[in-house]
Amino acid sequence: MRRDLAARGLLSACLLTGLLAASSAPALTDEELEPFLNAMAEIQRKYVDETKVDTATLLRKASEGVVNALDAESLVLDPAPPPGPAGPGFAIGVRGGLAHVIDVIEGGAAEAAGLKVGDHLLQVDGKDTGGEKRLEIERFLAGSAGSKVWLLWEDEDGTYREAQVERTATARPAWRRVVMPGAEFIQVFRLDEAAADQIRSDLASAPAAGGAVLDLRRCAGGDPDAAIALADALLPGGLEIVTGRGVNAKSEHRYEATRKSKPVGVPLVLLVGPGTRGAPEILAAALIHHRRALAVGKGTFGYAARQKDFALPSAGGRKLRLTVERFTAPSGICLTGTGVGAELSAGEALPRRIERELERTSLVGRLAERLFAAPPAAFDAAALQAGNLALSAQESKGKSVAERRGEFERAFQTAAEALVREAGLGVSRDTLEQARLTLISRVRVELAKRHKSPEDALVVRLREDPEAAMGLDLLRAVRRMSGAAQ
Amino acid sequence: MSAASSSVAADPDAAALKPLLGLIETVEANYAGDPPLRRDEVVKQAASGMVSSLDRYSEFLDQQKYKDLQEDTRGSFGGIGIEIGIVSGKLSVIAPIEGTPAFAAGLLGGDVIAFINGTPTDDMKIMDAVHRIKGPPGTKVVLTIQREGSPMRDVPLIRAIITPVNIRDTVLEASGIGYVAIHSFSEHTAENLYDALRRFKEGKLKGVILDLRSNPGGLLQEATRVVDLFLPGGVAIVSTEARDPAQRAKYYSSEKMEVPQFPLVVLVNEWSASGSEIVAGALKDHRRAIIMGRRTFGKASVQSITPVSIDKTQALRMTVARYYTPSHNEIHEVGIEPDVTLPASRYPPGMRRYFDESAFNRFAAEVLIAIGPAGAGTVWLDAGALKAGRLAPPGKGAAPEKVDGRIGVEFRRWADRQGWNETDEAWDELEDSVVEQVRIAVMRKVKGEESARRYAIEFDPQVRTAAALLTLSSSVPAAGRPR
Repeated sequence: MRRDLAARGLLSACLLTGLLAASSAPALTDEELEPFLNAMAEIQRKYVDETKVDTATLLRKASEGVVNALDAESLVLDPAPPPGPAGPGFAIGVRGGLAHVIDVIEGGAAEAAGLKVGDHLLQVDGKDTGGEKRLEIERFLAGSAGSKVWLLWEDEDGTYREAQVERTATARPAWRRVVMPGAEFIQVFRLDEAAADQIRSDLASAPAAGGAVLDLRRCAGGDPDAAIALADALLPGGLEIVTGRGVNAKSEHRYEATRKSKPVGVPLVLLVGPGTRGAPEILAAALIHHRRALAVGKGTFGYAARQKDFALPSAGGRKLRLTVERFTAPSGICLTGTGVGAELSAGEALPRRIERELERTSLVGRLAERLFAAPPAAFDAAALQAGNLALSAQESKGKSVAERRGEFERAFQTAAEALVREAGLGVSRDTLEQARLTLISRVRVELAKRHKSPEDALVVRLREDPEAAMGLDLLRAVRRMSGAAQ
Repeated sequence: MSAASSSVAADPDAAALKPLLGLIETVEANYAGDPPLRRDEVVKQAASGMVSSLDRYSEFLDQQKYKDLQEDTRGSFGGIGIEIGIVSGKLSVIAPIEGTPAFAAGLLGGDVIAFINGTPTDDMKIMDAVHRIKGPPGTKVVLTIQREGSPMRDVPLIRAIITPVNIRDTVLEASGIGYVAIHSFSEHTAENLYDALRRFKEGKLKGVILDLRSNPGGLLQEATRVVDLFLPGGVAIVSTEARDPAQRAKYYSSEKMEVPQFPLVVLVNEWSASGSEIVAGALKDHRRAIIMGRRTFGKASVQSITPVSIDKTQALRMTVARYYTPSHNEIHEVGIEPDVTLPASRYPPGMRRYFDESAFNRFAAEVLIAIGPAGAGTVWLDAGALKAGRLAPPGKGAAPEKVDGRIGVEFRRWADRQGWNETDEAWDELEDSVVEQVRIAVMRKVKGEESARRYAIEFDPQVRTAAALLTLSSSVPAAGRPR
């Protein structure tokens, strides 16, 4: 794969040999090892319990000591395959020795159990996650489909929560195109080489007038080289994409966009958030810095480094995965720890109090069910059967757009209040008012999920997603402005 | 691994070491972490990992840890003489130690340390602050102190040799019983205890309480010397079992000159460990003392500290022996069962926030300001009594106990004003502890840290129980035995 990149002229031959080949250090001298060797000899002679001092155990623990001192992405890889392909449906990132939940898969078991982005995962089946390597924690989480895993986590209020969650196999592609009116919409889940390659050709063939939204919010991994290659395709030659720093200052390398006749010019909006981690952060940092794209959403997780596997001699086929390069954005900020900020935010979510009330009462699901089963006169019954929520023809007749919107919201509020009253849900009128627009969006998504094809439901979900909607609006604005300029 | 083990140091088994060396070299040459790992640090981490597999008392000591440990056990260091802690999120003086530069400079418990030598303390870890304040005797450190109601000021202090107090003694006023608390066993502990016992003898006391609660141990030798003070010559104190012959030993009491003897109660709790358990175990086995309190921690092992680097700045602390009481009772993981088990003396959980917010000290300060220097304006406390360090209602004939209820009412009112509204139910649980702590805090403000400590001891329910037992038993022979 690296050969391919080099063939494209992205990476110079000197870089390949200089930075990526395993460097070797001068052998350790007895003097340097003295504290270790003396300690080992003392232990073997005098430690109170004879059963704990055999050489193999002590040396294995010494190796573990070295690996534990490394960052959360550096570890000794277990040659055994993971215990199963399924999981509870969320992604983590490790920072400061803590496992942060950075993405919760919609409709998954973890979401149903109430796990949220921003929570801290504390235990998996009784095993502490504190200080563990990320891949180790992911190993705890993995298992066969249908098996159960017990989770303990701390939510944003500092409350400890626990749940037994069933593992399900989630086959997400590395990326997917969603056909949205007027724009390319690409969701990226894993920015690896194949994905980057296809996204590039997809963007290159997209009509320049339309623009594209690149949704990186659930992209928690990938390959730094893939991110660099995609950034290269989108940026004019000579611009800095990212700078990598190896074991010391001498091993610093600046990755630049290659000289080319014409970079892919389609207008771009990126969607980013705490679930954007690793390779996509490199891409986002470069595109934002050079004003090649606007970013909507929240700050990214803040981790970008390259790992490389080293064979461990006489370790039973085990390998050492080591962080060998850390990345610094063109702005000079080290991506790890800081991440990339979004320029535009789609606004605050509902207050947690209200979120919890909606959760407690399952209001969204109940409303969708009721509207579908017994459509109030104000709504279009036929549209509801198809999973759409719209004002009936009678109600909208002869009214302006603004009037229709007012009418729609009033009708929705009436339906919601009726449900709350009849089911005795105890949600206040105030709460309903405050949450109304969010509720409408979520009920629309829920109806689509229940009564539309998965593809169509996805379109509805993105249309009702404030960040995605903002991205599409921005592209529309870009189109209008460039149209006006012509 | 038996015959070969002794040769490992001189000629390490090269083949066995190879994977580790390969790992260390690969990490050093390729790891791009932040911060980067230097070669000596990787070696240190290997040593730490190796030692961590042994037990929780064994540890590889790098330069800083070894230095701290040497200070802890040497019993003295260069500093200014304050206990510090984080109070309400701010680095604060907990208490100055009498007779130290900090005490002479007038630092008080509750003072916030805003800067140390000009460095802000906002995000400073407590150990970091300790390291900045400590230093060679004769050198200067400047603390910037913020005291409630006063402008910030710089306090320059010249460091001196500080010998932390590891042992405190007092005579309980109410019962005439001697009280000695040993906080840890370090150099001179037994000597200081001997001096205290002599003072008690002069006072013709009826009994002595030896308080080993929360004493984590310390030097084994010193613990055996403490036991020795209470036993006749030639009896077993403790024995150790070890692989290393040099660590196998049986300690016996010495033939010695007269040491004053008293009926003895030893107070222990779940945090009394190691040396404390040697003392409690030996005195229990020989029926020399009544052990009261809670079952002890259960750490029956001895650690040795051996320098392992050429420059002797890094060391290995490792468990080299287990010890057994004279009747060869297992202590490891079991602890010592007291003769008399007492209820745990814990504060109700609701007290926590008051301590965290320094509430009692603040309340006491406000009460004293309200009374004022002239002693006028008090409605519920007698100003004259207060100057003498007593809390009493105003007026001559009033019963001093009556003031307790009033302290409770006034504190609760004050706490409400701070926004800590307690329900009646919660308050019922807290009231006794609150009143006790207010009394201690007032004492601290009026008569100083030392008096407050003594007052707290007198008030301690476990100490009171122990004193009551000693008083009762001292009266039995005279009253009960026929002439």
